[in-house]
Order: sequence, then C-alpha cells, then structure tokens
Amino acid sequence: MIITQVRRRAVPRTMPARIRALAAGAALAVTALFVAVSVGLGDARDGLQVIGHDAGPQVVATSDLYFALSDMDAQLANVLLTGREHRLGPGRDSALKLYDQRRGEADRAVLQTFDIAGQDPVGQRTIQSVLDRLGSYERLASQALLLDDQSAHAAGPPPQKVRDLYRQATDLMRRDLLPQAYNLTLESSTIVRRSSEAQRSDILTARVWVALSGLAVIALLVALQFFLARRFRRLLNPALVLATVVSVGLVAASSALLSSTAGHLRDAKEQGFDLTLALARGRAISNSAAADQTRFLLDPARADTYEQNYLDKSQSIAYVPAGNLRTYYQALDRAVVGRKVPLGFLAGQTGPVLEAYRAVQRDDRRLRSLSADGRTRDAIMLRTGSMVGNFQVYDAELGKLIKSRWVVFGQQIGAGDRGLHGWRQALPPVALAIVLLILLGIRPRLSEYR
Amino acid sequence: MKRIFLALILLSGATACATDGHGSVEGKHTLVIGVKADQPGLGLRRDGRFTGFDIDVADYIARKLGASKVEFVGLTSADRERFLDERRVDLVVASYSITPLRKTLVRFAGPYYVAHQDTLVRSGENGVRGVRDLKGRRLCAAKGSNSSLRVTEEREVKAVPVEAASYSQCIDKLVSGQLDAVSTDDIILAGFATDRAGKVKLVNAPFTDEKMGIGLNKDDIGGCEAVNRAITSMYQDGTAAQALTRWFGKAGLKITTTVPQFEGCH
Repeated sequence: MIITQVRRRAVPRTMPARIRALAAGAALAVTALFVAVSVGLGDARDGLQVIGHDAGPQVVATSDLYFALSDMDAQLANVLLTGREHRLGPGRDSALKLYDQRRGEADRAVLQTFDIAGQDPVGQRTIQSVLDRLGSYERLASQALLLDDQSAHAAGPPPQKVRDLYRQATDLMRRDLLPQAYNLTLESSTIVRRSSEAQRSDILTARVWVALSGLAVIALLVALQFFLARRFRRLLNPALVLATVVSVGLVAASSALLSSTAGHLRDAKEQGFDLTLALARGRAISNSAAADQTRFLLDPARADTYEQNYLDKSQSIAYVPAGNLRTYYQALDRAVVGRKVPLGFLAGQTGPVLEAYRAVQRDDRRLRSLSADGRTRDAIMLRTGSMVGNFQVYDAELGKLIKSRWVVFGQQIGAGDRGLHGWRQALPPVALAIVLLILLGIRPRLSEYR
Repeated sequence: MKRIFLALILLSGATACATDGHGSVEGKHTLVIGVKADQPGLGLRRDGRFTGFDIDVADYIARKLGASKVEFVGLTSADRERFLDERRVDLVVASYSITPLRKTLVRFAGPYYVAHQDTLVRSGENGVRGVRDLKGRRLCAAKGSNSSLRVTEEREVKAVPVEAASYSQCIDKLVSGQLDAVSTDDIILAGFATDRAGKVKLVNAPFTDEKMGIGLNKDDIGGCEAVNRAITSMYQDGTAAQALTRWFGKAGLKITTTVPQFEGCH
C-alpha cells in the first residue's frame, strides 16, 4: 500500500507533471554540481594558500635557524683558533661581526618557527628550550672569548682553560641546541607533508563528486531531451542542447582544473619544497662539517671524534661507500668523474656543485695530511686561508641550487593560482545559465498543455 | 556508461589509497618490536621477560603510537634488516646504529640516543688507553655489527679481528682470554661492565658518535614521523633521562639527556 503510494508520487501520471519532475531533477543535479565544484575550488584554494603562501615558505625560513646557530659556533671556533693573530684569514673582527649577524638571523628564524611549530605544546616547549639554551651558550661563548683574549696565545689550540670553556659551549650547541633546531625544521616539514597530502586527497575527492553530479546532470538532460523528442516529434530542443553542452563543458573544465591544481600542488611540494629544504639542510650540514675541521685543529684530544663527525657529515652530503676519510676522497673522485653520487643531499646533482664539493674535500685531505705530519701551523694557515675561499665557492653553488628549486616552487604555485583565477566569479552565472536554459527548453512544451 | 562508472570507482579507490596509512605502525593495536635478548642494560631476556633501556624506549614509543599491546621478539644484529623487510617486526629497537648503507635498506626514526664508541678490556689490562693502543691486539668482531670496522677500517688501527656471534659471546671470549678487547657503543659496554664487575673494565676514551636509530619498514614515512614525535616527548617529559640514569647511571657513564638530532624521514 505504502509502496504504491510512493510509486505514484515518484512517477507522475500527467505529461506536464512528468516534464516538470524531470526538469526539477535536472535543476537539482545542477545545484549539486555547483556545490561540488565550489567545494573543490575551495579545497584547491586552501591547498595553494597553505602550501604555497603560509606554511611552505615559513618552513624554509626555519631551516635558517640551524644554519645561523651552527655558524655562530663555527665563528667562535675560528676566533679561538687564531688567538692573538687577529689578521689571520678573514680576521677576528669579521668573524665576530659574522657571529653577531648570525645571532640576529637566529632570532628572526625562531619567530618564523614559532608561527608554524609553536601550535602544539611539544613544539612550544622546544622553542622555549632553544631560547633558554641560546642564552647559556652566549654566556659561555663570551667567557671563552674574554679568556682567550687575555691569554694572547699564538694561532693554534688555545690554553686548556679556554678549551674547557669552548668544549662546554660547543657541546651545548652541538648536542642540545642544534638537534632541537634541526628537529623543528623536520617537524615543520612533517606538518606540511601531512597537510599537503590531506589537501590533495580532498581535491581529488571533490573531483569524484564533480564527475558524479555532472554525470547525473547530463543523464537527466539527455533523458528530458529524448522524452520531449518522442512526445512532441521534434528532433532537438535547442535550449536543452545548449544546457547539455554547457554542462559537459563545466564538468570537463572543472575536473581538469582540479586535476591540474592537485598536480601543481604535488610538483610544488616534491620538485620545489622538498628539494629546497633538503638542499638547505645540506648547506647547513656542510657548514657544520667545515666547523668540525676547525674544531679538529682546536682540540687535539677530541680530534678523533671530530674527524669521525666530519666523515659522517660528508657521507650524508654525498654518500659513496667508504670506511674512512682516505677511501672516501678516492671514492668521491671516482663518483664525480663518473657523475654518480647515488645518495645524500647532493644525490642526482651534476656539474659545478659537485666539482666545488670535490675541491672542498681535496682541501680536507691536505689539511689532515699536514696535521698528521705535525705541521699544525701550516694546517691552520690552510684552514683560515685558501680553504675559506673554496668553501665559499661551494656554498654559493649550493645557494644557487636552493634558489633555483625555490623558483620551481613559486612557478608551480603561481600556475595553480592562475588556473583558479576567475572561477569564483564565473561559476554562479554558468550554473544559473544552465538552470535558465532548462526552463527555457520546457516552457513552450508546458504551455501547449494550458 | 558502464565504462564511465568503472572509471569513477577506480578514481575514488585511488584517492582512498592516497590517505590510507597502509601498513604503518601508526594506530596499530599490536606492535611487534625486535629487540636484543643478550645485552644487559639494553635488551636482555631473563625467564621470558625482556628488560633494558631499549625495552623502556620501545614501550614508551609503542604507547605514544597508540598501541595497546606490545610483543617483543629477540633478534641479533644480522637479523634486523631482514625482519623489517619481511614485516616480521614493526619496529627494531636493538642498539641499531644509523649508517648511510643501512639507510638504503630500512627507514630510520631517531636517533633516540647518540652513544660513543669505547673499548672494554680485562680488569688487569693497563696497556690500552685509547683506540690506537688496540694495534696488534685481538679485537672482537660481532656478526652484523659495524663497530670493529670503526677501529680497523675507519681509524686504520691494525687490530686482529676475532669473530663472535654476538656481543655476549664477545664478552665471554674476553673474560676467558680468547681475545683482548671489545670495542662498541659505550652503553652496550656499560651494561656488560656492570654485569661482570671486577672481571672487565671500560677504557673511557670515546672516539665516535653513534646514532642509535629505530628501524622501520622502508615504506613507512608516516610511522617514522610519528616515532620522532614520540622520541621528542620522551625527552621533554623526563622519561628518557630517568631510563638512562636507571640503566647506565651505575656504570659511571657520562650520559646526554637532551633530544638527539634526528635523521629525518625522507
């Protein structure tokens, strides 16, 4: 009984009622399509905003924190190593100036980091702890500098008291501050990775809904067309044909837009963001490896550990199978000639950056062999002299690579933004036009029944 | 029409896969964790129960990952990559140091601790003050471990390697005079030094930084990120400091109680 009632209502008996029902169904489907496209556009816009304009750039800024902190300790080591010979290498004044500059950069990077990683209590605690320890580090550093200045030692390892203070400072920096700074960048990039994946999947889900509702619109319009053609013996209803064409166009264009936005987001993330960040981390690690060379000369009692740290960092920059530094240099030479660096931050790179890195390692080889021969003075001259320039060349090459990856990121985000341009304004009139065309198509037929 | 619907179903399936954490350790109810069974202080099985620093770390992380049940599986150094690859274990917390080569085989979260390689000798031995004094001495080479290579290859000290199946066997051989020195992570040695007090002693001349990582299956990026978050909390809430003091405080080891620098999950 109930079923027949429902059926009676679902399939209207009179002709005008049937036409009206089909048309209303089509209009409803158009509304669903409108909602699906709007939601998809919203997701796409959010994705581009978060990855492209908010979190993405901020995360890249947080990687400056590690670099700035690491370079503060490197500059401190430089000053302590040169002792009273203030004009050795780039000179004491410029090292101290650079130290202050890095301190300022670290402060600014902490602020950037707070915006993104400070949203949960774990991140907040980490940032708080970085600020606390940075204060302690600076106290130790200034004590070491003062004592070093008073001792007025020749270039080379400073007196034990200074070395003890530097050990405390560098241990605080390398075991406490730097790990937290590095982990903050990693955690921020985790946040970006997770939100970018969620957003991409939202966009692709919206695309499924667009396709489904679009299919319903088209099916209902075609059904209406057939129905009218059979009833009224007219081949085509121009208004309905136009409505169908516009709908097909809308579904095709919006699906394509959602696909391409998802694609731009993926490429921005994988080709731009990930590589920028990996190279920025590589640059920071390279800088701290260079500081390990200075520390190696500064604190002979710990030379073994600093040398192992250096090898470990070198392996993470450009991995080639090698059990010690001597075999590492050789394996690296072979890999650069054969253009094959399979793993590490420089994986897949060819050309100038690898050559520059090889020059840095060639210097390292000379440095260690001078030191092994007991020619500490020559090793210090080398470290503060020509090695600085070679490292700067390598660092500049890395800087170029980072910039070029960041350009790719900007291009992809820009392309995504441009693709969305105008949709917000165009969508409502187009949906409205389809509905009006449907009404226009059925009105003359309905009037025949008046 | 049928084909379009098929395409739609495939499409929705594809999007579902993108968000599905397939086989991730995150959100699993039961976690199977590979640990050492023969290293006092780190992972030791006695009467079917596992105890040690690695066990405490594994327990904490499993809880943070949301697991309600943890099963421990004893394994040796040589088993670790294979067990992860075959998914016989979800995590490996077994004094597993992160090396570039191993990074090509498994995914590493952590390190959860940075240990330093040191040397253990018999109590009566006075000629070994540092790694270079191992020249010409018989040094234990435990199967699957890279520690002896740090001496013979990285530092190029000409020690004579003597093979052993595990570190507990190394110690047995050291005590019985079949070899002269065992060189590996200080926290591994600290456990043995406490266990066999009076028979062996720690030289206390660290010469490396050893990053002890947590192994995951190569595909589990999300799980790796979640483990890193758990490690950060473990240090922030004081659990790590407590566990380190509990297991290594007595051996007179200088312990670090701040979070180590992670390798990153990519």
